[in-house]
Amino acid sequence: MRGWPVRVTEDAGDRIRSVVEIAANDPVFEGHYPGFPILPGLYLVQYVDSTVRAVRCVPGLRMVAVERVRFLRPVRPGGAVSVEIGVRDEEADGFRCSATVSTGTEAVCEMRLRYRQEAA
Amino acid sequence: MTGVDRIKALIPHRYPILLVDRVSEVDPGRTLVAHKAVTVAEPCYAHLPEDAPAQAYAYPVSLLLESWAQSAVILACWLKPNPDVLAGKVELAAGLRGAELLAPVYPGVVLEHRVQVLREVDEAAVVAGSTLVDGETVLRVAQFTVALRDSSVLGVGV
Repeated sequence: MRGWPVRVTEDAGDRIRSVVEIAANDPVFEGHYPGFPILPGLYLVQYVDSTVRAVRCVPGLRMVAVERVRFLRPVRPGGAVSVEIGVRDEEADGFRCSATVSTGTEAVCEMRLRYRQEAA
Repeated sequence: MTGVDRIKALIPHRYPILLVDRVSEVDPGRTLVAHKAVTVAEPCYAHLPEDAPAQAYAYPVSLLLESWAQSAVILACWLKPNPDVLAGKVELAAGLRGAELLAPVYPGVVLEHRVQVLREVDEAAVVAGSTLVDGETVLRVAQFTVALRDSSVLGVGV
């Protein structure tokens, strides 16, 4: 693992987009799985979280729930995934996100996350 | 006590993404308790800057969930070991519902993962459970679905 190399490409308040390069030589592929490299699906949750944090770098903001994730197809090494996030239910103490992660035009994962603003 | 040698004989995950250290209790097909120590020597902390604040050392949610999910896979594979994807099936997360992250986790703790099977259908298992740190629940998972697929169908390598 080499951090979470998220590049934000759009930040329009309630709509956020980013691109993440899936390096073919990322060490994670040596172990997931030997001879059959696919990205651990839960990394996609981290990409969405890192994107949210990149644009809302507020101390005390924390992901408090993964309400739902559907993994549609595995992600192979190399290439990039694009992340599209819609922010909704925004209130003083937090918000929800709906996100779709895609390779090219194909969705690989959909998820809904909840964030809460806690004392920093 | 079931250590890493036995875990490796059950599931195909390997360094740096084998995130379960031992299994302390198992009732095959029903429940399992597994443990993972979180330390600052893990690769996820390698590239933090010198002045990273305390919160930067929170264990990544993806790895916490992955570690819990691997405990679920160990339970699902207890009676049908699947240590080599190329010779057997590939484990794919299919879906997750209702995961509550109750408190962040920092280096120095041991995660206690508890897993119970809700149902097993064909080549998929639906499991629920929680993770505790020193008796305090830090994660609750209402439903996680893991599917076993033929690696030949998915195609080997890229």
